[in-house]
Amino acid sequence: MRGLEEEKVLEVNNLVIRFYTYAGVVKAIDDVFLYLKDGEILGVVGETGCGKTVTALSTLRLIPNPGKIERGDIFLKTDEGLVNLMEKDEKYMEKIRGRYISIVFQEPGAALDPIYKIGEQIGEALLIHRRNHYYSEVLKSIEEKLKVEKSPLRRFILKLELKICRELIKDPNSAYSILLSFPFLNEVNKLVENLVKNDVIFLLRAMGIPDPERTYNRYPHELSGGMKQRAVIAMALACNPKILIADEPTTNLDVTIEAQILHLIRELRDRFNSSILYITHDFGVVAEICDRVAVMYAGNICEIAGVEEIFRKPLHPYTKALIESIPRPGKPFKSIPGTIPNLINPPSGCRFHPRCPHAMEICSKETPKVKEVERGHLVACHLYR
Amino acid sequence: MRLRDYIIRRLLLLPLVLLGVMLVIFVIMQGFTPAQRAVAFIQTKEEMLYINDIIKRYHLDEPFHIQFFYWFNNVLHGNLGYSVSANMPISQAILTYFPATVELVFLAIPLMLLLGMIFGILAAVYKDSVIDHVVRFFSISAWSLPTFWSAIILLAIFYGVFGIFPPGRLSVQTVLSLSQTRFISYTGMYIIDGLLNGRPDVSWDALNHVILPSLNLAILSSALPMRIMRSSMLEALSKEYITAARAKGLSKWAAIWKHAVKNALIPMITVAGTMVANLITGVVITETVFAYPGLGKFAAGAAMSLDMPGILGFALFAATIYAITNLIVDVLYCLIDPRIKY
Amino acid sequence: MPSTKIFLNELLFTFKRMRESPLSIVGLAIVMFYVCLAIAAPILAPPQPGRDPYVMPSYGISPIPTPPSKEAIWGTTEGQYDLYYGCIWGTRTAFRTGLITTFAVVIIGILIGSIAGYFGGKVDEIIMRITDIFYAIPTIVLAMAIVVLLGVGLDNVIKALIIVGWPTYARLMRAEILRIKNEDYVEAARAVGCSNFRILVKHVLPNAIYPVLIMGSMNIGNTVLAASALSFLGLGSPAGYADWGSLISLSRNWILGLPGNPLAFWHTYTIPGLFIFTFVLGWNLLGDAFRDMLDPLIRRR
Repeated sequence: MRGLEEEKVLEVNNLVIRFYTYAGVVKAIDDVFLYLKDGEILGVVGETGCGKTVTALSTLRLIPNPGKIERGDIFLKTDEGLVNLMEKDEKYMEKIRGRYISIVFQEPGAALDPIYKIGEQIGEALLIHRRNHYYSEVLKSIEEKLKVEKSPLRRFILKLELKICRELIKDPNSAYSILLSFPFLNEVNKLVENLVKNDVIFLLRAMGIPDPERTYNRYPHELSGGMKQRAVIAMALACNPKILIADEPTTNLDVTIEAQILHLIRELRDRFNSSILYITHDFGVVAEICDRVAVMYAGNICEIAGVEEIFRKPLHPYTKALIESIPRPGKPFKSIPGTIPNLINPPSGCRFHPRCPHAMEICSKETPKVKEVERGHLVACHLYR
Repeated sequence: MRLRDYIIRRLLLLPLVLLGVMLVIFVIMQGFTPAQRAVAFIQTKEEMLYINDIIKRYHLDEPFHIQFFYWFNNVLHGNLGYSVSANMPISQAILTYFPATVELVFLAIPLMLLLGMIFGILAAVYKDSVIDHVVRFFSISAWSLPTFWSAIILLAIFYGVFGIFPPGRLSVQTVLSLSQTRFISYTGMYIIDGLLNGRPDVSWDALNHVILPSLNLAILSSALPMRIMRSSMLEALSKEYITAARAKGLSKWAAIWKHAVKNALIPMITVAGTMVANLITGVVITETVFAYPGLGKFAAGAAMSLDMPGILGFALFAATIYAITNLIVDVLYCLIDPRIKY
Repeated sequence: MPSTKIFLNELLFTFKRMRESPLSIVGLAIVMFYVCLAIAAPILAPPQPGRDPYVMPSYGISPIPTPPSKEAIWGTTEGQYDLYYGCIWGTRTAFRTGLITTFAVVIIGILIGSIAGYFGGKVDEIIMRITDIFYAIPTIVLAMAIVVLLGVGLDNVIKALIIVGWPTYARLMRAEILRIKNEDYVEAARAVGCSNFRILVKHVLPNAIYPVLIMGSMNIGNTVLAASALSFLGLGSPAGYADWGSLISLSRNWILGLPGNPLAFWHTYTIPGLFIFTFVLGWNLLGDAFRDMLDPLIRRR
């Protein structure tokens, strides 16, 4: 599946990730593939521990130690065209993170540092990627001030500040930033802070957080779970990333709050044309907001299809079993026999074969290759060779 | 409760704590005969001739609470008694020897904190690497080293073999020159006073003498901050807000510095009190080995000569410093961690 | 499963975990080495007949220490005391000091802490204030004062360290009891109908004691350090007694050696110092390993 069609913004191919732990090598992700189209919500479904979060983190190349991306390609559509993130260095990734791809985690408050104000943390996201923009704005306002300033001392200070701004725009890491800590020069910092603060308040309001000015100065522990999650989403969206990864963002929230957050996410897709990778284990949420669905099991992608297709005509035995196990009133409770395999010693061939009602001899010998059975409907199963 | 009210409340508690300390000290004093205790009430050697008068005046043979009242009154007026080991009133001894110890401690504390924190951070960030193992081994070794032994070894090597960093406080030449020229003692600390008097040679000399005891104190005391920093950094680094910070585009070390280190400092503050207690202990022993004329040497000398008012006076002083430090630490803790509700 | 079987299982698991951590093995090896040394002291360094074995033999009256010779394997220190003899028997002294102090402190701490935690209310308040006062004075300073009161001598040093040390354990025990009192399983036991006494003995005490024991094992090293420091200052055993700290204090006048040979008397302070250092290091490594192993939360990571 090489090459990116015009509408794909993210494509992951042949991804293999291993964790080198004391207990052994965990083959967490085994040849995973998926793609995200422009302006769509792709749901990634699977049981806990199947590798959804690891896959998501891999697109940002933030796999924690002792994990390593062994091989694979991660294609991202940037302003400069198609880019393979696996070929890029850390500095490039720092530019990508938060700017092209953002992530929202499961635990509402966990992404927030408890000792910094909410506003400061969201502002941090803005400052990282839009530094030059802010300094340019401050430059303009200082130039305006210079036009009307008469006092020679003030004129000198303003000219100095101008020079510092220009230097910082050219090279963000230059030593001139140290000068800004001087008391009579920190006017620049204050101006930047104000600009950032305005943008943050705007973001908070857009996320539906009441009283954004007060909330700016609050600390994470002073907010409720739902508010925290909105703040975290605001932080993720601060720099208008093309792709948002939502890793079970509503699992730890009340159902009513969940509905609000889901509504918010739908709005993002509708109004801002964001592409969203929505990770969940809840099929109900999938049915509500996803356009397409990818089903994962034990580090493998089993099936990818449109949301209606997947409910109407699930092809992979695991997908079928998952959908059947959704509790429905009137139906007897059905679960999938067996347990999730140990990924240090995963089953040979297809990892689902020990629990599969349709398992054949080949299933324990060969890993099934992915096949596009119908347009847009892909399966990795020996039943569909 | 607002911060200001909290501080006021803690300040009010301080005298209570000190009262308790004085009670303990007084109880210990009761283990001595009235004649022996009389020394705790006089200011000059000559007064020892009038022991009976003193016993009468301070009611030293009367019940506990009456005695305590008189003694308490006495202490409040600055009369802690006379030290036979130092040959001067104790309050004067404290004032005389205090600056030297301050100089020593003020040099040791930044060294100790820098050493402890930097290596603690490195050990946590590079967990299970060579530097992590070195740090863990170092901190447990430093924790097991007797202060007096490391002091002796330092002295033997640097001064014995290489002839640098002599013990004591000033060299004989400097003392001689100080007695001959005008030298105003602003702070009692020679490093500062030397500069203030335009005598950098005095500062240099004082530095040379104080560096070895400081190093001894700093290196041994750095074991605790190193361990605590490492474990609290490990805790902070495992938190999701670090990953979230990097997901925003922050570089690895920017995320470590801005988020992990700041959070890791909070548990460090809670052990600040213990660090101060360790320092006080270390000071007593280190000053003794290096013959450094500070409060520690005074205390050791008092203990060795069984100078009861001396050692008890020092204990009271040490407890006061310790209590004030704990107060500062508690307030600092509230200021730094916004989650604390007081 | 019956509790003894669980206990044995856990013990085996403890040893298995121990094998995996090299530092804990080193610690165990060191401690075992010193245990053997202490037990074998009469064989390794036969005491002179009719004398208290803890008093080191002296080969003369010259104050100048002598280097290793046929008579004194590691040389002598000031007063011609046999260094080898002193270090070997000093092991026994160290064990005596460390173990007696720690046992006493742990037992007193457990008793008082249990009383405070169990009865609560006024009793608890009073005990807490008392420990507060003890905490307000740095320990060695208070220990020094107590020794000045009781008089110089190793036994008084031990007494002083006990008096100064128990508040830590009382507090720990009390904190553990309070924490456990609020745990769900205690409430569950009460809901099932267990009597208070049964709850205390079967549930509260066994769980509360663990941290106290761990802290105790970690503290033997510190106790020996403190005792040797006090001996070094001259407040412990008299000169001539086999005690590492006092041996080093005997070397104080000879640190700078002779003119032209600054390390002439290195053996007088290096050797006893190495004994103290390795002894305490062994106990600290062991105590650290204990803590990592016995803490039920970290055990099975």
